[in-house]
Amino acid sequence: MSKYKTEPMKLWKRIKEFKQNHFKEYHEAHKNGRLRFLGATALSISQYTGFENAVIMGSEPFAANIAFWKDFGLKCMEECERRGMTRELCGYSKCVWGAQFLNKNIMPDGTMLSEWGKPDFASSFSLAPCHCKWFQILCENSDTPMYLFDLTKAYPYNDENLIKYMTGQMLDCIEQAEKAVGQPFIDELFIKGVKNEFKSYRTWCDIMILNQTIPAPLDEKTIFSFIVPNLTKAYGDDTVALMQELKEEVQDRVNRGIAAVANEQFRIITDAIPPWPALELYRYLEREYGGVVVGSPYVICLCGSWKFENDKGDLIPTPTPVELGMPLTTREEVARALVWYRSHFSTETPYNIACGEVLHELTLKIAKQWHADGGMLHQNIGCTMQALGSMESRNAVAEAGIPCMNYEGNDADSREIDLTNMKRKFDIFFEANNVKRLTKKAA
Amino acid sequence: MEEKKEYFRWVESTYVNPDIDWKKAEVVSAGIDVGSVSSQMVVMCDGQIYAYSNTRSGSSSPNSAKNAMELCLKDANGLTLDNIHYLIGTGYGRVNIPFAQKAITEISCHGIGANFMYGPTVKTLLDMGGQDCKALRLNEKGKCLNFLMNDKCAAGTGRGMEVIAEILKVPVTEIGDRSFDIDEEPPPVSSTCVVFAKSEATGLLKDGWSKNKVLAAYCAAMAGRVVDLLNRIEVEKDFAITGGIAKNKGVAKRIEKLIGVEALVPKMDTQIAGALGAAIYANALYKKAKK
Amino acid sequence: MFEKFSEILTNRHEYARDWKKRTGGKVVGFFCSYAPEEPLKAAGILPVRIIGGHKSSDKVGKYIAPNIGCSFCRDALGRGLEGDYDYLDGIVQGQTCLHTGEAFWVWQKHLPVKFSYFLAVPHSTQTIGREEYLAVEYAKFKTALEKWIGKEITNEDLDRGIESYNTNRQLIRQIFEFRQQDNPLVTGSEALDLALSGQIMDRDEHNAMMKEVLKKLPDRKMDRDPGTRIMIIGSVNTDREFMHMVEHECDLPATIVIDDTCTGIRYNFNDVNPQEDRLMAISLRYNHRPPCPNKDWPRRRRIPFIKHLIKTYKVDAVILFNHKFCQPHQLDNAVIEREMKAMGIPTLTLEFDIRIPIGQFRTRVEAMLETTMDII
Repeated sequence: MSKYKTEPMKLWKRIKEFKQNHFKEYHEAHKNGRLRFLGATALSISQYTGFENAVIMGSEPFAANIAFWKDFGLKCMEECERRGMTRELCGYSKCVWGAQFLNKNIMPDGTMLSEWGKPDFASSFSLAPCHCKWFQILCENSDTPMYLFDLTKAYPYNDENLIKYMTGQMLDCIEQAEKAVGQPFIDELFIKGVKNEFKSYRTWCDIMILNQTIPAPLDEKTIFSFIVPNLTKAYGDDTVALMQELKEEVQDRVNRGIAAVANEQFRIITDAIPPWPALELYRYLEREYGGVVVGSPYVICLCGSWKFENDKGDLIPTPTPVELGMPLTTREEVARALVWYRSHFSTETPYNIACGEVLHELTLKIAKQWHADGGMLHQNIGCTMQALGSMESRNAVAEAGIPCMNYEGNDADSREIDLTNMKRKFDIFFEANNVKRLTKKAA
Repeated sequence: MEEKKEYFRWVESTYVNPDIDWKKAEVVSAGIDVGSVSSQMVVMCDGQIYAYSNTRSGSSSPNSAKNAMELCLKDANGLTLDNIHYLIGTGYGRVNIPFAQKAITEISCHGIGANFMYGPTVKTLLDMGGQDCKALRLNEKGKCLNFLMNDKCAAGTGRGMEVIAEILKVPVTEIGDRSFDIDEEPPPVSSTCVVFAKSEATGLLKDGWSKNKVLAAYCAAMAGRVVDLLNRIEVEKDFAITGGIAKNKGVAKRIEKLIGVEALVPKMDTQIAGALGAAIYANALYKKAKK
Repeated sequence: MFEKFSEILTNRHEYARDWKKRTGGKVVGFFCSYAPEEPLKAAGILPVRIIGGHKSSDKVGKYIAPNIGCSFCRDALGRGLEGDYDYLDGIVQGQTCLHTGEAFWVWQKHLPVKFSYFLAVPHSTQTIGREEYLAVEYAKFKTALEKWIGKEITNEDLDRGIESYNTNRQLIRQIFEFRQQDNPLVTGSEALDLALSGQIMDRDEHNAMMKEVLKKLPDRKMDRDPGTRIMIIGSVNTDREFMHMVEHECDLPATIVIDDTCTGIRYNFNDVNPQEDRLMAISLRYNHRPPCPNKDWPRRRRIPFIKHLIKTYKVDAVILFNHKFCQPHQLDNAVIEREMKAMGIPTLTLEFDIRIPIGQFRTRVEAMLETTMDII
């Protein structure tokens, strides 16, 4: 007899289709007379909404999709290594470089494409400095016009010097992009897109807060499927509506006590991008131990914007510029508001630039607020930025009395993932914390 | 009492060319290659191979060199160290060979050695040694133009293979053949690290894999690792392999498949290439000095 | 001729402790060479670069995983955790790579000092508005320093700081120029000790020592075969053992004639050009200096710089010096290798860890030297 009622998410299929369609739109953009923009999610997506016929792709979901299809992902890694890119380099970068070198790509449903998807304009920002080196190499090799933003240091947020610097770059980027693609930038579209983004992001925060409920209505593996709309198309009317529907469905699950995992008995937080080629790990935790991953700084902040209440208090959603009544009528005002909103804990900015300053505090807050029984933090070798701070996050969570471990993996390189060892590490962790195994241990 | 079987053991060997009388030679040159796992000595008479030995390295470089030397000269019809005009040391222990006049790196020596073994057409050479692995680009004289080496890792090396042999209790010399005795090529193991190998191999056996299948997965992983080096240095034909692993078909054939180029077939013991190269250099340098 | 520099570098902790005793001043450690030293000097503080000791420390593993953190930063942090830097009154990080940043945060949290400051430095040295941005960050930094030392840092103080560092860089460049000769009058080992000792010494004292050297240097007679002329390209180089091995222990002669590292010419290439707004003047210097790969985008400024050095210093071969897990340099190395290949310059990539396998490295370096010459 299961502990909780469970049922599949009704929106699951639609969100999967949303992703598939968005990738399709991007890859078929030229055929349909549209422009392709490839930008790092967060700060270099919504500014392109000012171009009427733009299809904007977030470079991280673009890369993660390659990583998820691990056979193709591996080919991409190997192609990069052939060209002198070492194994330690950013996994996402190598996914996209590899696709570019091979001139192939893959759709979310696994269909192979005979072209990698060269953008007409590309941009990134220095979330980690190598995020810009990623695009430097990509654009050099494909002769793509690029704009690389400098995000110097995102914490403490609300820093006027940073907001001014970033806003100046965003306005400059818009002008450069106008020149490069030869099309006018329409401020009204931009303003509408950014306002939509605020809504989509704000709704995401609400959805994540709902997951503080016991039992959790969502598990992180499922949440991974829901991040793409916000990551790459938060500016769309359809995304605003979809996020609203998602919120309602999750609220309904909470009201009715529907759990993501029927046997939830140990709530887990993690921290970083998961090992995409080995997501079955999550199912292992659920099946064997009723361990449900309820969130992480990664997935909670990825599609929302957060701040500490009164500086050191609980993590709360950042009020949007619309909610705060900021002026949003000119290009400058909107760019500034967007930078302001996103330079809070949004996307992966808490990892910026080294994590030691605040990531561990954030991780601990999440562990407490999401009622975690333990932490399993991913030492993601494919992302130095995330992996570097992971041990200090573990220390902070463990010192606060919440059992916490690190496990080594890679977000993109399946060769670096030793599933047997990972599972064994998890087994030991659960055993040490007296978590009952739900299945009979295999002989 | 049952004798403990050592699966990592490979056959140590010696050779003396019966058609050569060293006493008639104008120049007797020699090379000694002290590697981390094995040591060799090659003696040449006027540029022709007269004798060689191939033995396991000991705890110290001078001892290893001495052992290789004694083994090589044991049946060499009275040839002694004093009769050798010039001796060059190579390999990681090259600077600690007391009776060598000069040291040259094993990289240059393997290049020249391969050129002698396989002929001047060799442009790309892979030397798979006991503890490291090198990819070389050579000119028609065997001079090394460029090289890459793997780093501080026993993956894709002889020592790594010996460890696997012990873990799976399969004689190291049988690994190659057995790794092809499978129904279907398995995916390479994820970790070729010899330290992790044990847990992973045990895990795979527990999952019901046959020993041969595990061996195949290891050979494939090792091949994959060294192919990285070859790809980076860009393979140009002809391609040849030297070093101990060249004898392991399980790795060699998989490398050939991955790079799409067949390696030249060795005519002699591939492990002596370094010492051979040293002996060739010794011959040339002696003649140059005499002029 | 350079023994004194080497000696002070070897005994750098004693030097700093003695300096404190002599002057009663404060000592601040900095991680990356993007920390602006001029304002520190202006405040009467001795800035010392925090470097490792090429010794392992088992205290680091709790904070930074060995399979991801760069070896240089782990070593530097390890020396801190082991107490070698117990004389520091403060620490500063001028933002560059993730690794130095994380080392700073761990240090701040677990080795509390009276003053710690993470200075936001633009990641790109090409973006619009970067110079103004950095000048504002310097102003914040200056305010924080003033609050700490309890007195104002005046323009005259800043001028003194700028003057001292400009002189220092000029003198280093003058000495380095003697490396351009067919038989360089300064070896790479000496040059490293010279430049690196500057980063841990009072620059005025360092300047005085360099002036003495410059009196004698033109007449120096070198009794060594310069052999193959090598350039080192890479991360922060503090590996004196390696430099010595290349120049003195290999079977074949070689001289390291120049480098592109932040403990060599990259750090000392350009000066602060005085202007009324002192902080802007300093901002321009740090923004315009030859960049670290981390800051070298969107266009590549490093490649032309490297090519310029190759020509000026008549370089025969290049060693790409890479700390284990230093991704910024790994990212550039593939491009540099390609460029070097096109120029016909042999390139050897070596990966450095806290302790290096000197024997393996020797084999590789000797093999590279062998490729540059005919053995027979």
